Amino acid sequence: MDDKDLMALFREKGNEHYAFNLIVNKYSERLYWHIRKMVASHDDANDLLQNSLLKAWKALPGFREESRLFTWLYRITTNEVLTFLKKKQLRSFLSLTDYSTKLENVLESDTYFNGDSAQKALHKAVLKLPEKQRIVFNLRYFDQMKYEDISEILGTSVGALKASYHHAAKKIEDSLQELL
Amino acid sequence: MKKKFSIEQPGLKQNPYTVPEGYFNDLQNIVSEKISSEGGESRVWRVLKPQLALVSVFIFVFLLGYGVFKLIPLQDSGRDIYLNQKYTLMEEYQLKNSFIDFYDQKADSAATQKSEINPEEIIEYLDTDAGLLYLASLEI
Repeated sequence: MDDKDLMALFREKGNEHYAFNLIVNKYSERLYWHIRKMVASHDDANDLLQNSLLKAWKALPGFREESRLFTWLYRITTNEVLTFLKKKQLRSFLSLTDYSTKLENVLESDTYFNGDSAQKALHKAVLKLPEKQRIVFNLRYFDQMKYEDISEILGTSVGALKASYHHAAKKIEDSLQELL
Repeated sequence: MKKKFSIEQPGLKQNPYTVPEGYFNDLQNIVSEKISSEGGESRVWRVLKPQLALVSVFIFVFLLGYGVFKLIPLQDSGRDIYLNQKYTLMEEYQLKNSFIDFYDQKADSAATQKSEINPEEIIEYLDTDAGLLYLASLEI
């Protein structure tokens, strides 16, 4: 079922829960991986995904379908992640520890990480990127999303996104060049 | 020369993260349950809840403050004690050295007390001085 049909079903009285379950079923996995690559920890990703879906449920009756459902869901999730990261960074600032180092430690001790050493090094380098650059890199590199879609999610021009992606890719390659 | 590392190497784009078994199947139920439990809360209550919480915090702080001022007796500060002692000493000094010490109460009362004169003494006095009666009669 495509997004328009899902939304039509959601607007039918009495079918809201059923339609939303279908939406969750369709997008929760993609959204989860998007969050997980940003926060590394499964527990944090799980909390953030659940909060994002609850927010989507509350906001869905007001969704005017000016953007596509999947970019709208990505936008909610991304905002949730950015708010979470800001809070974490503030706490790290107050406790005088670097948050990206904390994320690296999470990745190092993560039992739900099956990658080889090259993948681990890559993901550690990704976690060192500034948040917005990290989002752009993840969506383009791992999810292979079009720049136009990323632009819709982040509200940034395609040109700026391309520049951001290339900066991020260069940083990661330089970082991995030293490590590997 | 070291070969330049490329992120386009095969295998790097694969997702190395995993999740606990059955996570995505359970997720749908968890989200549904959360939505159902949130649905029980009416919209009015959702709006009122934070405001009521704020009001109750104000009331609590007010009662706490009131209780502190009411239940704990106010104690004189060191400065107040010093001033009280100073005023007491000054009062005592004034009482000792003021005119009140020299005030002769007996003399004062003797001067102001109306002496009681016997009427017979008055008649006797008038008799001895008849000239005064004469003068009084002239006035009429």
